[in-house]
Amino acid sequence: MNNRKAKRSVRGKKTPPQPARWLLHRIHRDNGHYSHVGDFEEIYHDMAVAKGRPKASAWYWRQVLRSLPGYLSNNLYWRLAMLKNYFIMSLRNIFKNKWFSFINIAGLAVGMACFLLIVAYVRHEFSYDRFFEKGDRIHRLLIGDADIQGRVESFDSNTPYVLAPLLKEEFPEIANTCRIYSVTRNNAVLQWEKNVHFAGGTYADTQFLNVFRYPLLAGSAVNALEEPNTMVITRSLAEKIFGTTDPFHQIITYREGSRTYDVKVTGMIADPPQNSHLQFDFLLSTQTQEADERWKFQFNTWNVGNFITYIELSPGTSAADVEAKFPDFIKKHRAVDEKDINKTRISLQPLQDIHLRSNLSRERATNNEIRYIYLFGTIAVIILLIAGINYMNLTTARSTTRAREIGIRKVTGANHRQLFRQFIGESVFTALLAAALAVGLIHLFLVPFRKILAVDLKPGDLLNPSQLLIIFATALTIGILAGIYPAFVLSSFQPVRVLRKDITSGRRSPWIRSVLVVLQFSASIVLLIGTIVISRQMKFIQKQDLGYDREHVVILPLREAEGRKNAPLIKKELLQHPEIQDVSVSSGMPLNIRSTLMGVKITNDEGN
Amino acid sequence: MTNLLTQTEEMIMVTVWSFQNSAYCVPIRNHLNKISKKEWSLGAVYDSLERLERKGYLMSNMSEPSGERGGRSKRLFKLTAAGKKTLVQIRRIQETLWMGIEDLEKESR
Repeated sequence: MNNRKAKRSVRGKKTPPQPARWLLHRIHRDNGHYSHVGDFEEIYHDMAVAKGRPKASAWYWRQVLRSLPGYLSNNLYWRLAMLKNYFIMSLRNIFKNKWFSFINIAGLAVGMACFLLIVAYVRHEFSYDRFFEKGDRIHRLLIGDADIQGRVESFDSNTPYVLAPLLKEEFPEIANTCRIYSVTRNNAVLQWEKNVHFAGGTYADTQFLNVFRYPLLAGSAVNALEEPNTMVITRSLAEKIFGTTDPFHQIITYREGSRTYDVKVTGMIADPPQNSHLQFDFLLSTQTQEADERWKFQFNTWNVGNFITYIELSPGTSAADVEAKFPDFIKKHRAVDEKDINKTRISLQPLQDIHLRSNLSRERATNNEIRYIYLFGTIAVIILLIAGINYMNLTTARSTTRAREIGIRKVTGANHRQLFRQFIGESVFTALLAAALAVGLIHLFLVPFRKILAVDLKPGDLLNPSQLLIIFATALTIGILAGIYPAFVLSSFQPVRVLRKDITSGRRSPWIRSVLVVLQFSASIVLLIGTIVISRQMKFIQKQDLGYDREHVVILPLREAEGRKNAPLIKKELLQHPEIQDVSVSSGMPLNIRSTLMGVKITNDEGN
Repeated sequence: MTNLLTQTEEMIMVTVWSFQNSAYCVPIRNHLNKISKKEWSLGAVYDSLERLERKGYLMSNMSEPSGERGGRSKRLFKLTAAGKKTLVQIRRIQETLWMGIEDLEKESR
């Protein structure tokens, strides 16, 4: 048989199925058996001619698939062997240049620590009020007065008591409503037998515990706040007042301002988590106030807005649809002035928007602003970028020390892609080391960080699975991104020139590195300037002479009516103490600007 | 003492010799299939060829890439001097062994 007989016309060529052929090619590419692929093609053609394409393709596929396991296991074995070598080489390199490696890894670690701390903070801020079972269906009711053009200048959350039941009745989309008294009573004195404690809390209506499903440790959500003079307390308050005694159904004397009630404990809940805009030690039933003659007036009128109303929508309803029906609802229930068009407007604010996006004039809790969160996020990314660029530059600067290793590797058969993978792997490994160090740094700096941002982040928060995932993902990303450039540079060393010690490879364009360095420095300088400015501003605020000496001045709030009555007596007692220089009494603090406008009559000498 | 070959190896070597300059995997396999009326697996052929080459009885070289095989070159095999000598020896042994074998056919009828 000679070549002439084997010639076939290319047009009548039957080629095997592409995917299988590609696989076969891949399998045999690295072991140099190029002839196999061609052999298979011939056989395929012969078979296709003799037995038809389907049978030939079936045979072809079968051959390919049967060679697969052997190839894969072989491949895996050698890959693992190389991995071990890469790992050992990485370690060796790190220890060969101890100081350099330390600076590199530490730099990355510090950058990552800052980034991760800020990420933890941002996640915390976003987590406010998200733990409520019906959280995404709860909205806060806002009320406002519209001007002539129908625009509302500012909304308020203080709504009348009567709104909620009316809304619930008339809107099928509203599953439930609840109200709490808008002013937090922080000056409450609770006494049981001999134990007296200060606590802060508010009044809540019967449905509050149904809408906000705080798990009840004692009592039932359905009727805990149904009767007047009942109270639900938190667990820490229970421990403070009652110690180990069961608080359920005990009677506490509640004194606050001018009110005194004897209340029965009808329930106990776990402490509200720190990431919620609702914070309280106790909840009194609103019936308590309603039963009180002096305060009854708030409960039946549209003109007094002392309650915050929360609306729970039925699943599947949209707030926008409900809001659209509000104008008609208002028209129906509010008497229209003859002169003005109806001014009242109400709208819904999602519960989970409150912490970051709400800035009403009177909020229950100090809210944050979404702008600051974005700012923090940006700073975090910038810091990480700086760290990454730093790593890139340092690694490429040191690349010449590895030149010989690379040369030998290339000479003994490593190809470009293998080397690239080796160096990317090294930088990922370095990044993971840096991440481990970063976790340590985070715990070191956690306490001051918490103080500055007034957030309650426990070490446990930073090690939960989702956070760990973030840490790992960050390390991986930064390892890969920051490693691409150095890996590229390193894998492109030419063995001949390297072994000849002629390493000035013109490949490395100097301008890339210069650009990176400049970027790095500018970003760092910007951040430094920002920090200095803010820090000086803060110092200024704190140290500015306000006209009085704030050192050694202590403020003692007098919380109850009795205390206030006896103020002169208290003053006399205190003045007798040798360490106390002087005492004065006032109805408000000079620092606290809260003014009420009362009419002032000015009479001139003639009595007008 | 000559090194004996397995039957497969022997068959392959003979086929390679008969193909002279154009012995590569595919025609070798086809030929064997036709003669032995059995479907030879590619592995058997490849394996034996490699083994024989390792033993020094065959030598291979890559041909020019040919258009008909999708541009791949063929791996051509040729008998070495050692291979030829071994083959001749085996043949002699077999001839001696099989002397007077016409009777076997008569007996098996």
